[in-house]
Amino acid sequence: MRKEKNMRRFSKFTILLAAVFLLQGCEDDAATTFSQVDRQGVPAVNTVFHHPQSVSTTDLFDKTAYNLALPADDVATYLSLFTTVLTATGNADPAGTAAAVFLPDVMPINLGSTTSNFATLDGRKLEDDATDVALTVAVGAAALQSDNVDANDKAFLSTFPYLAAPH
Amino acid sequence: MKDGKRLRRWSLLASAFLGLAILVGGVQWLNSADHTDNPGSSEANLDILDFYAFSTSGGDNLALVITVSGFLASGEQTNNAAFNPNALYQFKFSDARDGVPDAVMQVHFTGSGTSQTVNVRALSAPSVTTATGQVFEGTVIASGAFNTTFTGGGVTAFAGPRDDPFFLDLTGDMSLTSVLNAVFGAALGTTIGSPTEQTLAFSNPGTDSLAGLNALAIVVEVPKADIAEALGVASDATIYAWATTDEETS
Repeated sequence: MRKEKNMRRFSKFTILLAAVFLLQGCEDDAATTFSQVDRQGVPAVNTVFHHPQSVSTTDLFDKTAYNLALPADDVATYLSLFTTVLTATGNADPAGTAAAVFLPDVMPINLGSTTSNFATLDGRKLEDDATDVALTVAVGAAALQSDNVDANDKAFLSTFPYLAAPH
Repeated sequence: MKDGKRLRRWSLLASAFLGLAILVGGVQWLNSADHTDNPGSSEANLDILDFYAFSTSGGDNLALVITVSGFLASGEQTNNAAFNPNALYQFKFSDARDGVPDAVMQVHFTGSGTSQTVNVRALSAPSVTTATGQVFEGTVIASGAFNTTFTGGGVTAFAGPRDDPFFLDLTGDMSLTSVLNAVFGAALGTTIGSPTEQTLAFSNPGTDSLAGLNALAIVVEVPKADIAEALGVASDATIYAWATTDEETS
């Protein structure tokens, strides 16, 4: 008799525990929320401003904060910093370049174009040498405007999914 | 005695039910737990390597690409060789250069490893435009298996391992990193980066640091007419796009 009672109790407890776990598992779509952890618009910001290897006291800026930020806030937060950096690196029009190319960090795309080219700020295709374009925009010295790697190691596909098969 | 047997059976059933429930619910608890110690973009499969958007099909379509999980060696299967099932991968579009999304297209994943299912949701005006508190937007218009091409709702989609499409001389002496360390360091009157990566010249020829390496890629091809319609702009308008990864918070 006592055994049965215990068993019944155990069963009830087990079912309750199961219900809790199931509720946790079957989350309602509407209740799920997400927070931004990374973002990218133009490759120039990533290529130029994110690549110097920061050491504790000489960060160009806080990359994590940048990744968490909204492009809507870019001009207010970063325009003066980017302008300072571009002035120092010898860009001819630092404030104008920062505002036209880098900030807000969004990629312009002309829907009327049949082709795309990051160099003309009209989308970005796989073949575009984003590093050279970014260096040309950001660094004044002509000798430092190409990393001398001009193409991918594998040919891109002319049909979907366009990226080459994995190695 | 009969009662005892029934009870025992009942207990067994309840235990099995608990086991199943732990599988369904517990996995999520475990996942959530290791996320909490990593605010920001610590997970490789949430770290956006590159974002591409280019005209295809004679200009009728726009191919959108996000790559994550960089530096995967050939044949490498790690935890990060799958997408994050507790996240959104989003393409965001604006009709103005203001950084405020007027339409989003979300991709998300269920399951783990190479048995993941890929879900693509319809272009839709987002109900949330802040960085936090984002929700699923639009209905699922196409679903398919990891590493396969599938279609639905006018889009063609793929998510899986590909050759990393980017190419650059990234690290070491006379690389992008060493040049930018030196340029920015000199310009700002400070030392940036390690002493072995400080040069004011590139190697020639350079070394493609991403040669032979793979990444995880999401590719979605969308009719431009659908994007123009979602934004309420002309078919030859200039729009502004970006990509985000967004981790589940609840």
